[in-house]
This record gives sequence, structure tokens and C-alpha cells, in this order.
Amino acid sequence: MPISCDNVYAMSTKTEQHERQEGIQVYELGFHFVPTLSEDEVVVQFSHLKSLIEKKGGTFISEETPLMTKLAYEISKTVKATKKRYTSAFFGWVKFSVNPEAIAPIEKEVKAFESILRYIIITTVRENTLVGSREAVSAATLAASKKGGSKEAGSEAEASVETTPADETPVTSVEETPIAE
Amino acid sequence: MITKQCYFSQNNIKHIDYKDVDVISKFINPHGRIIGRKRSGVTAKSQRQLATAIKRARFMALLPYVAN
Repeated sequence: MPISCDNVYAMSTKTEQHERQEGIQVYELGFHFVPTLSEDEVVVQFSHLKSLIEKKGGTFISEETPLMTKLAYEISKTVKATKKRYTSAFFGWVKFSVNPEAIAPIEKEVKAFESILRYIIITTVRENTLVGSREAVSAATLAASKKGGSKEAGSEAEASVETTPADETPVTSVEETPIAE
Repeated sequence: MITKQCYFSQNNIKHIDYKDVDVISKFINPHGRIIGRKRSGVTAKSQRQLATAIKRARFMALLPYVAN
């Protein structure tokens, strides 16, 4: 591997150490919105969800706007004594970094979100972890960046290219995790 | 000489994402069960990550618990 690659590693260790000191952790919230929402309502609910995270001090890394997907099995949700069954939903996710102390209150609010059918919160890494459906994701991120003005339009596509020269990389996009454990 | 067989090592995949249904569905059998290391040739480290990813994908209904 060329020297430029080593630089990327050195850079990532520095930011990661910095993050550890600050007590910042990268999380990802994946969720299903109920399919009864209209396309416009989904966008509204998604921005509502994001504002909730932002309020708790989260900074967004990447996201995918909810898309209608078929569920692998039926999921039911009980709202006010009525049980409803769904076989499809709007699946979206958002990756953000936040102080670990803030994640419990975030989860509490997400849990109370009425249009969310199911959610998952996982700890993850800053770099892009998607491989298979990259085109779809980068397109979605591009669309999102057009709307929200986010910074990582190119990073999704770039993150996976292993021979990316260090001087070309945007400040935060490509960050390989060092293997040291 | 034994060639490297692990799909994730070959493709330089360091983190396995539960949303990557195209990738992780290669490692489940028609019933939806996780294929073991002996058959898939995945390294121990990747297999652990893979198992977590598949279980998360099942929870989020991206993959079935039981397929028929």
C-alpha cells in the first residue's frame, strides 16, 4: 500500500482518539414507518425524527430517506387497543454521532413515535459500511444533500474505493478503522 | 497453496451492514438459516459480524426468520 494510505490510517486514529476523549459515539437508527402514510407525510415525519436527534445534540453523518419496502414477515403494531398488521413499510435510516448519555432519551422519544412500526439503534463506524446497494444509497444521499445541504454527497461512493488518494478525500468522509483492538 | 476464500476478506469488507441484504443473503440457505463457516469459508471474525448482521436484518424484517 502506498504512503498516502498510511496517512488515512493516521488521520483516522487521531479523530477517533479525539472522539473517544470527547465521549462521542457513532450510532445508526434504522426504522420502518407505517405504510399508511403518504409520500409527503413520510418526508415530514423523517425531518421530525431528525430534528428530534438534532435537539439532543446529534450531528448527522449520512442517511437514506424512507423508501417503500416489502417486509419479510408481517409486523403488527398496537395503537390504542387496535392491533394493525402490516406487510410493507417505509424503511429508512440515519447515521449520527452523539454523546452516549443522550442516546437513551433519544430512544425513549423514538419509541413513543406513533408512525414508527419498528426501529433499531446500533453503534457503528463513521465510514460507509454499505457495499451491495451502493448506487441506490449514494443516489438517495445525493437527493438528500440537494435538499438539506449535507456534506457527504461524494463520500458514499468514495468511501469504498480502496485506492483513494489521501489528498483528494474530503475532511471526514473516508475513515478506515484501524484493526488494533 | 490454499487460496483465500473468505468473501469479506477478498472484497476488503471490514464492516458488515445489516442493511446490505444483497450481500448477507448470500449466506443464508433457502430456509433462511445462517450458513456455517465450514460451508461458507468465512473467517471467524467476519462470521461473527455476519451473524449479527443477519439477526439484525431479521429483526427489521429485511430477511425472514423462517422462509418456506
